[in-house]
Amino acid sequence: MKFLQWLHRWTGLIIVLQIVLWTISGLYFALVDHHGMKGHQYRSEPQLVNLDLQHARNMNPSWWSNFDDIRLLRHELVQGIPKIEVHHRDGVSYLNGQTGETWVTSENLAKEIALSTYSGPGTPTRVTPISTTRELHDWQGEGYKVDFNDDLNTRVYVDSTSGSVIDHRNTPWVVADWMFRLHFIDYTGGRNFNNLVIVTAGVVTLWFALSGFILLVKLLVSGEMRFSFRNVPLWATIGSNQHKFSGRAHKSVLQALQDNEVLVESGCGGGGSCGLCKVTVNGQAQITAAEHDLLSPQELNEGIRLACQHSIAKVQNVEVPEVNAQKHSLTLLTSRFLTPMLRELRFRAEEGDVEYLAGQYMQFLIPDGITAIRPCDIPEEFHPNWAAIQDGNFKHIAVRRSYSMATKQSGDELVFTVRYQPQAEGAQAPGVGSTYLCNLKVGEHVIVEGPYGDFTRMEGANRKLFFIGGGAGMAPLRALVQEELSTPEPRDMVFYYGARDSNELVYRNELEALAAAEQIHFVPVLSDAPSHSDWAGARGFVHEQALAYLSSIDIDEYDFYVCGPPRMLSATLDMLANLGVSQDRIRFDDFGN
Amino acid sequence: MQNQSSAFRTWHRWLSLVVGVQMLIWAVSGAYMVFVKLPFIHGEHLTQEVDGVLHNPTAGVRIADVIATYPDAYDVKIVNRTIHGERQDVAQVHSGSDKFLVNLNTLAPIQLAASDIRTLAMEYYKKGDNPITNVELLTENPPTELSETHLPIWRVDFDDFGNTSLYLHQATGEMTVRRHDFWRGFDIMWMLHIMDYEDRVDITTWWLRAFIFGTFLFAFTGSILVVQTLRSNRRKPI
Repeated sequence: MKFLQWLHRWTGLIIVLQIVLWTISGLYFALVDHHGMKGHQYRSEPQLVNLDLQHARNMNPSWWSNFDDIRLLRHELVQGIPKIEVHHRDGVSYLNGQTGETWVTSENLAKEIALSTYSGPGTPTRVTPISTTRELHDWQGEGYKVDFNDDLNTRVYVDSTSGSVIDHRNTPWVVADWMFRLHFIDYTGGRNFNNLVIVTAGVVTLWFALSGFILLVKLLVSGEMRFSFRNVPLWATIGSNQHKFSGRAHKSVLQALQDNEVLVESGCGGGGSCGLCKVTVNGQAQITAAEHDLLSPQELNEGIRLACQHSIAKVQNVEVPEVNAQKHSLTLLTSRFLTPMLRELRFRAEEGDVEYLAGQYMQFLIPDGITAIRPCDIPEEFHPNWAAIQDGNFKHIAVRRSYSMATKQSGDELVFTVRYQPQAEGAQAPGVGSTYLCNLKVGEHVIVEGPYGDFTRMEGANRKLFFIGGGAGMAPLRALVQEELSTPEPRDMVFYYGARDSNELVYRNELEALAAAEQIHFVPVLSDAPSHSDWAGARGFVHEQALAYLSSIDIDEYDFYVCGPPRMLSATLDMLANLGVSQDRIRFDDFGN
Repeated sequence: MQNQSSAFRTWHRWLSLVVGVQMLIWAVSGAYMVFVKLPFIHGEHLTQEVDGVLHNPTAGVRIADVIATYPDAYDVKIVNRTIHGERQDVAQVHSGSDKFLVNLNTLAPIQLAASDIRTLAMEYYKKGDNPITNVELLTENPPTELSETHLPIWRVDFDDFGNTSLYLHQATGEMTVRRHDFWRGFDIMWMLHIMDYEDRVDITTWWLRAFIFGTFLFAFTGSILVVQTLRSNRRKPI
C-alpha cells in the first residue's frame, strides 16, 4: 500500500506535465476532428480528363528503351500535357509524352497544377522553388511552394519531378502539427509515435495509472469510498472537554474533527502517510496497513489510531490530543550573538501568554522580500568568522521555518536560538529563515504558528533524563532542563553537548553553574578544538563520549532525548540502537532537511 | 503544519472512479499503440511486391489501342502480373470510378477468378508456406476490420500466427488491405482510446470531451495532493 502510494506519487510527479500535454492535445483533437487537421479544407480532387488518342499514338517506345527492368509504364495527363511514368531498376522516371524528354515543371505549370486541386476562395500569389521544407517531413527534391491569399494561408506543394501535388498546408495544419508533436512527443515533426521518448513515457504512465487503479480498488474494497447521507454522532474528548459532533457517516474521523474546527495535526491531508493525526479510540478499531507502518506496537496497544484511517460510522468515540497551535504575533525584544553564528532572539507575544511544553517548536512565517546577507551588529571578536561572507542583499520568497523554544514556558516571552546559515556552495542564497531572523530589528514583528511537536518530557518518577545534543540542538534541550528543574522533585539529568570549538559552547556558563550546583551532570565535548588550546574537557564526537559514559551506568534507568545536526543525530540514534535501548525510551528532534 | 484533510483528496478519489478508470484505459491502449511499431501493425512485413519486369516494354505503344477501345480511360498502366496461371503483360485501365485489367492482345477485359486470386495472394504473402484457408469475394456486409468503401473485394485468409487476411482488389488483384491479429488488437485499442465504440472513427463525441475535461480536474487535484504531501514532512527545516 505504501509502496503503491510512493510509486503513484513519484511516477505522477514525473509524468504529470506530459499528461497535461496529452490532455490538451487530446482535447484539441476532440474539438477539431480529422478534417480540421489535415490542411485539406480547400483541397479537391482534380477533374478527371480522358486520355487523348492522338497523344498516345505519338508515343515512341524508343523513349524508354534505355531503361532496364521496366516494371510499370503509365500514361496520364497533367494539365492536358501527356506524361509517361516509368518504374525501372534504378527508380522512377517521368517523361514528357509529347517529346519523350524528361518531364519538366515550370513555375506556371506548378501554379496550374496547384490550382487544379484547390477549391478555396483565394488565388495564387507566389510560386517559390524549394528543395526541402519543414512542412513536408518525408519529402525532399525539386519542387514549388504555391501560396494562396485565402483566410487559411493555404500553400500547395508541387513536386517538379513528377508534376504532381505533394500536399496542402495551412495555418490550422500548423496548429494540428504542433498538437501531434505534443501528443506523440516527437518534436521532429515526423509524427512517429513509436519513438524512444514516448515509449519511456508510456512505461511510466502505465505504472502511474496501474498503481492508481490498484489504490482505487483497495479503497473500494476497504469501504473508504462509501458515500452516505446518514448523519452519525462522534464523541470527542479534547483535553478535559467532551464534545458531541455529527457528520455524514462516510467521513473520516479527521474530516469530522476538522469540519468542526478541532485542530488535529496533519501533514499529508488525510492520506495515511504522515502519521501525525493520532487520536485515542475508545472501543474497537481495526488496525490499517498505514497504522502498522506509522504507529508503534505500544501505541496500537494503547488504542492510538490515525484519525484519517477510520470513518465515523465505525469509530464514534475518540480522545484528541489537545493542540494549542495557533498564530501568534511576536515583537522582537532583544537579539544578540551567543556564538559566532548563533543568535538568541527574545520576543514578546502581543496577545499575552503562550502555553507550550518544553521541547516544542514554533513555525515562523517568513514573508517574502529583500534581506541583507550580513547583520550590521557583528561583534568585533566574531569578525574573523564572518570574513568570507560578502555584504549585500538577496531576494527571497515566503517560507515557513521551525525553531524550538529555548526556555521553558514563561508567560508572554518566547526565546529562540537561530543559527545563521551562510550560503552553501552551489546554493543561490544563504538560508532564508535564519538570515531573515538574524537581521530582524528590535521592535519588529513576526508571525509564528504553534506550538507543535512531541519532543517533550516523558513521565515516570524514576526515569532519569539523558540529553545528547549538538549545535543548535541546545535550544529544546535547555528548555527541557529548565522545565524539569521547575518540577517539585526534579529527576536526575545527564547532558552531553557537542560543539566544534569552545566559542560555540552556547549557554556554557549557565549550564556549568547548574552543574556546579549539582542539579545536572553536564559534559561539553569539543570535536575541533585546536590541540594547543587550553581546553581541558572532553574531545571528540559527542556520541562517542556519551557511549563511554553509558557503558559505566545502568542505561535502563534513562530516557534519551537527542537533538542536533543530521549527522550527529543519526550517529547517536545508531549508537543507542546498538546499545539495545528501546525505541519508546528515545525521543529525538530532527531538524535536518 | 495544519493541513485541511482532503477536500482535494475526496475529489481526487471520486474523480478516479469516473475519470481514473478511463485514464487507465488510455494508458493501456496508448501503451499498446506506442510499444508496437506502426509498420508492423500495418502488416508491411506480411507481403512483398509481385508485379514483375515487363516481358516486352515496347508493348507501351498498345496504350493507344487501349484508349481507342476504352475512350473514358484517364490513366493507363502496363504491368506484368500472374493471370490465369502465367505471367503476362497487361494493361490496368482507370475509367470513371473503376479500374480493371485488359488483355493486350485481344483488348478484352480480364476477369479474375478465385484461383487467380489464390495464386496472386500466395505471391504477395511473404511469411512462408502457410496454407490458405479461405478465398472469397466479399460484396456486402464487410467485417469490422474493413471499410465498406473497399467493397467488392477478395478476401484471402492464411492459417498462420496472427491469422493474416489479405484483401485483393476485385478486378485488378492488387494488394489493397492487410490485416492480422496485431492490427485487430490495435483497432480495439484505438476504439478504447477515442471512445467511439461503434464505428471507431468519431473523435468528437461529447462523452470523450467530457472525460477530457474531467481529466484536467483529476490531474489538478492530484498535483495539489502531491505538492501537499511532498511539502509536509514532520521535520523541521533549518
